Amino acid sequence: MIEFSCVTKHYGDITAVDSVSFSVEDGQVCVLIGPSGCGKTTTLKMVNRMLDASSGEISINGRNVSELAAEQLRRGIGYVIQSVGLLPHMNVRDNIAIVQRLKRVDRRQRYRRADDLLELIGLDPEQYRLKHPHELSGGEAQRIGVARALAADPPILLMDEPFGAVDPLNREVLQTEFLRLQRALKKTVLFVTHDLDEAIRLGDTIILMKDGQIVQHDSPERILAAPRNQFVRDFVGADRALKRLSCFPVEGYIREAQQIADQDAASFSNGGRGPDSVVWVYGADRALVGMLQRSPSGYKVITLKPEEVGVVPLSSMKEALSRLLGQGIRAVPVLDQRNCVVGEIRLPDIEELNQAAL
Amino acid sequence: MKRLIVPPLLFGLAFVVLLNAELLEPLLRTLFPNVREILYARIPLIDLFREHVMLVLVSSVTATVTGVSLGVIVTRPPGRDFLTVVQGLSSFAQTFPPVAVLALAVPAVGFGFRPTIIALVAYSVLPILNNTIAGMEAIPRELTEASRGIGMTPLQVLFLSELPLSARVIAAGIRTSVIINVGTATIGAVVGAGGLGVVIVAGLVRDNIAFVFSGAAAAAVLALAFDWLFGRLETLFFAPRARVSR
Ligand SMILES: Nc1ncnc2c1ncn2[C@@H]1O[C@H](COP(=O)(O)OP(=O)(O)OP(=O)(O)O)[C@@H](O)[C@H]1O
Ligand SMILES: [Mg+2]
Repeated sequence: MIEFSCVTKHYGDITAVDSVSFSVEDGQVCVLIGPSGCGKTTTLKMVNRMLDASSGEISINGRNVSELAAEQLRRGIGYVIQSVGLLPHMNVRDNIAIVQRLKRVDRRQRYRRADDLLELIGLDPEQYRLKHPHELSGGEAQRIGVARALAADPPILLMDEPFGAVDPLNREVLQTEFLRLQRALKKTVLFVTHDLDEAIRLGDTIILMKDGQIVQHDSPERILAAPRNQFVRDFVGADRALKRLSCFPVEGYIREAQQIADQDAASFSNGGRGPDSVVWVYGADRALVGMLQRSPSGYKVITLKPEEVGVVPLSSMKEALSRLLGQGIRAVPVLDQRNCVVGEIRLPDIEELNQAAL
Repeated sequence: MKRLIVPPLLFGLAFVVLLNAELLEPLLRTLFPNVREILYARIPLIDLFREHVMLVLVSSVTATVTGVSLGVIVTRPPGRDFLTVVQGLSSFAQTFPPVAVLALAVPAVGFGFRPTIIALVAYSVLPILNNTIAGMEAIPRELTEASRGIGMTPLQVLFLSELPLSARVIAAGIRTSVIINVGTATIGAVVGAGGLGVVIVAGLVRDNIAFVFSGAAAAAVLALAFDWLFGRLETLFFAPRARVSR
């Protein structure tokens, strides 16, 4: 557990963080959000003593961080920053293994761990371990940054706008990945972002800050449903009903989907299905290749790209809605890792969820 | 491949000539038909060459250690106040002619090897110092910040991040200063430090242009050899990294 009590940080005359108190429970993700300059980064950096608090106390599992040697403390806390900060002269494997190297774990064990972590973040060790950082895309580098933070298996992660420099599409992928990892690893995470959707999607709790103070600390749903004051209302914006959809992973709303092999699609005739039903078409390895559409001359197959139309169980309902609207279809397929359809999300369910908020 | 074979062959040839200076006689005779004593015979050329290499190595190693340490110190937070002072001092040292440094050093440390080393170090520390500072300053803040953030001690940040990242630039500084030293070391002859300067000085004193020529040529070949060696070392050590920094 991370606990702040009355923590203040001054830079000369500026009070960057002003008597802040909050705690993050074990295994929870707490997201710090707020306008630029409100003190998010400063708050985060005081946890691993990249900065020392001017007054107040920060403790981790009951131990005051100022009692620990800064380097020892940092080796026990994963740290991910927007610029990633991979060392350009080391390959991916050495970058991931660096914290364990500092901890004098032997090389064999370090490298084995690095390979495991590459697997965990979904990059093929064979292909990636010997690459240098300049050979990686922004999203890959960011993943490696996360792998490095996880290498020594620290119970706590600090993440400062980790997906801030990645384009929106990749950001969603990285968020999904983060949710998947977090489910498996149950770290205690303090996460800074500028992006409200990200905060809503990833946070168990959200702390909205302004001028170094906490304005509201609540669950994402509460922040949206019950903004404490005008500032929160403005920050959340007019489309908060829509934003609320980010709180819900699609996995809770999956409906059974009808699907058919592509070789059977040609001879398909409408076997009494309702007007709303979509029939997905799969190819050789059961991966989605298209959907069946009624046309004057019967049915025809429309080709679809799985990565463009599909969502995964950890995607948010908001993502499902935007796929739905973007593609102009009545349902979005939910895909597993091999792009097989495991179910679908239907518009009426999204609407119902939306109604409930109002 | 050609770059790997031809230069060592040429330098090998030059070395053979150094060991058997009389091989040069026909060449020098055609170049300088009017000179009577064509070969410097008092001391074998190879001995002078060895002394010269010693002067260069000792002064370059000293200048490297001094320059890199100073550069590292003045780029640490506590040393930062001295940054401009140190840079100013070393620039001043380089504007000061080595001969003048010799003149000042001899009364203090006597004749021979030592005053020459002082003059060479004073003269050649600047490129190393400047490049060390430039290399350190060019490292993005986020990188040192990230290194600290994952739990490196200040020394680990220096040895695992900063020095490897600026090694290329520092190496370029060392290369420059070694080449400078090969040329400048010839003045060591004036205060009895030996080296190839001995032949040149003898030539100047006795108005023997063949001596001057053979001393200068030997020093030039040595400079070229060092330069080639550094080039090889750089491609050897930094080739994978050349791709890194693009
Ligand atoms: N090293 C510093 N010296 C002086 N003032 C600083 C320093 N670092 C931050 N500040 C100030 O402290 C305040 C909080 O900065 P901080 O970096 O924590 O903001 P932030 O919420 O992370 O902003 P952003 O969203 O832009 O990253 C700002 O007003 C900033 O100008
Ligand atoms: Mg910030």
